[in-house]
Amino acid sequence: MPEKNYYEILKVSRNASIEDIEQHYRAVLYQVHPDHNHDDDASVDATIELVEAFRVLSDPKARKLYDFKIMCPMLTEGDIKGVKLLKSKEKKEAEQRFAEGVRAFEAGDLPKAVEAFKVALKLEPDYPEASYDLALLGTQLGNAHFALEVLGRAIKLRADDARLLKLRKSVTETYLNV
Amino acid sequence: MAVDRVLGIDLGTTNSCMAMILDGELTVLNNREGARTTPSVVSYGRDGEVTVGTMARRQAVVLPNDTLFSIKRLMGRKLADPAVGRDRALFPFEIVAADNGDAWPVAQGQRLSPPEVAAQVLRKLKIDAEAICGEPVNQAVITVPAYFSDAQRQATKDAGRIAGLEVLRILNEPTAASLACGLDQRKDQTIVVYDLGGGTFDITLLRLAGGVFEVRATTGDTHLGGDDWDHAIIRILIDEFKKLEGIDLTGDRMALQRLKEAAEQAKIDLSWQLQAEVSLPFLAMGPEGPVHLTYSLTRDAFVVATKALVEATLKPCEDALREAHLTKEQVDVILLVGGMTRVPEIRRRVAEFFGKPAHPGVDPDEAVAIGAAIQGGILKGQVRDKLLLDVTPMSLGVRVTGGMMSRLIDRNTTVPTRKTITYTTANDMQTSVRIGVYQGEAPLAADNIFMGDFELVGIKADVRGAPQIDVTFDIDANGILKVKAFDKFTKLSQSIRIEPNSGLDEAQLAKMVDSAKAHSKIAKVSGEAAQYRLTCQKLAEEIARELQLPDLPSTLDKVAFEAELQVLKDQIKEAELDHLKALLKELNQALLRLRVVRKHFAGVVPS
Repeated sequence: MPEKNYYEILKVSRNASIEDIEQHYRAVLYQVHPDHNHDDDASVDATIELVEAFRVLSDPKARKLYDFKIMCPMLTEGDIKGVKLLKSKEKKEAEQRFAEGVRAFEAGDLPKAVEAFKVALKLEPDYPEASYDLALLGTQLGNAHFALEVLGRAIKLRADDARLLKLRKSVTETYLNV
Repeated sequence: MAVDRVLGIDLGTTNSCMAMILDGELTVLNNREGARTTPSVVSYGRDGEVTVGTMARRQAVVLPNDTLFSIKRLMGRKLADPAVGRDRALFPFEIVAADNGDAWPVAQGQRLSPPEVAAQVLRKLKIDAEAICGEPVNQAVITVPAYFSDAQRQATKDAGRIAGLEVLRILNEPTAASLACGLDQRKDQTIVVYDLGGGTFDITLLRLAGGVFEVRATTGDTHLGGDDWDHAIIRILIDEFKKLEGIDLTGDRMALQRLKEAAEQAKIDLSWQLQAEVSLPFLAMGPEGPVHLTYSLTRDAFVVATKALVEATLKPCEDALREAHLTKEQVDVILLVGGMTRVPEIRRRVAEFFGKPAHPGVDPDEAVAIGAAIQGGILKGQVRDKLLLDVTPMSLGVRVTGGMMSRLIDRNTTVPTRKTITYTTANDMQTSVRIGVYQGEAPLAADNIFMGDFELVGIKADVRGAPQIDVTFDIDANGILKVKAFDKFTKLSQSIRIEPNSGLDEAQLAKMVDSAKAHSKIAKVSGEAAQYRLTCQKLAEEIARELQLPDLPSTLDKVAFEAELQVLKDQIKEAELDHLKALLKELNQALLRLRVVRKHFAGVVPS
């Protein structure tokens, strides 16, 4: 089930002003809050979701980071492009490490994920998906310079990968110009 | 429809108040005695009769050890709690430990749970409200101090249930007050509620915009209130008496009860006078007979004696501002709630602190009950233009390895809320985990309030760190917590509503609900004169009873005393209200004289 993003929950556009967000927040609150509606699990859930969405989007810094997160989602095995034939032993091993990293990332074990992606890239330096996720992790751990370094190396090998270019732009805008 | 009646109840430490929406109008309901507030006092008679409110308060002299007040200060607390210990020394009734360590008062030799006692007050309010609206009232919104813990909230909810009320919501008092003060809802504003009641202090910061009252921060002290101001006066009086008469009154329950009453009155007098007179005849027995206390307390002396208490309320103000990321200048409206905010020195210091005077449109005694009635209206769909978003006052978490507290929910988080964290095992081959739930800000779990625990068994045996156990905290709009643990591998789950492990279990509660129903034959006497007459008669009976006790000292002329009593008794039947009031006073003094003499000669064999 795809999760609704915070903008959808608050029923505002992606570039809504803080005043818009506040106004919509209150309007939606009246619609979903259990005190004004059926006091059931669904309205409690909707309220919890709404309050969290507002908490993030009403805080400029948190909103920026959230925007980054929805603009640049993590890449998983399904996102791997390119020819999969003629895999070397190293390449297979790298793919296993990548999958391991994704799992660790999803479980919130960031240090373990960093390690896995690093190993994957050592085995197969031209691995844009692993570079992408490692850079993403770097930003989450608060090290934007590390992220840009990883992206720089990857883009040298794959100058045409739109995902890498987009991530580099977002990292620069979100983390370096704040 | 009868089911739509929701009573808003401010269950106070010293006084309680109730309000309701009647024919679309918010109304503060008078009790049967015709007063807008009811003393939260419950008196247990020898014959098993229970009196509540003003009548109970009058009986405090007759039954000093069996008349319970300030019960709110004991709700959901342990006897070992240092705050309870301080009260114990100054309360005329006994406080003992329940089987689970809870602080329970004693009346007529019976241990009573605080919710049971509070239920007596709620039941009286319910019955009096029913008399006004002519229909049964079965639902209520009851307020509690914002800084009440989960156990204290549960205890309050239990009290409602024992009284036969379905508690639709436990509402925070300061938030309730903000709903009631009739602010212009279209304007964005920041409100601070300074709530100093009989036993608790709360400070709450809210933002009001578009009809949504959103609490930003709340903090306080559940054991600081008017009682402490009274105690400061009592201490002055005790010291004075010791200096003048050489008699130490500490430990003399009867004297303490009278000092408490006199102190409360002096405090109230000092709100509008510069000096209060305290006059307590027959307070104790000296070497030359009964000794009286007369003393003039000046407002200045009162201010000096309570300076530290006032200052103690300002520190939480600073804390709340910091937590809400606000400055004093950003506060638009100051609401003063709770009877204690009538004290001029408190008004002065709060205005000085925030740099502006308080909002004038609030009655400190009634605002909270009105707010509770409004919330009742919101829940019933009668009020459509207001919405309240409150917060949880304390952080919540579980105990993890090393005795540390792992926080799941930070304080001042908007409720309802939910949070899940994944934990794992600390030992190899561990097949069960005990989830201990705590409330508070200390890094060590043991330094916080223990809320309860439960065990998740049947985890697959594995090396430590391998199992994944999701712990989910759910806080509902009442601020009451539910905890769930879920083993991701076995899909086993275990969940509990956190019952204050202190409190009453389901069976005990059900029993109390039944017994409360059976004892609901509260004397249906109305009219002030009739009530005074009844109290006078009771007092006369009590004196007659005590005169017959075998240990009567020989120094007392029993025959003369009996004759004197008979004269008073004859007058009671026919007297008018004013005369009855005078008679009550005389009877009180006669009883005091009798008791003070008896106490002094207790154990002395007549020569």
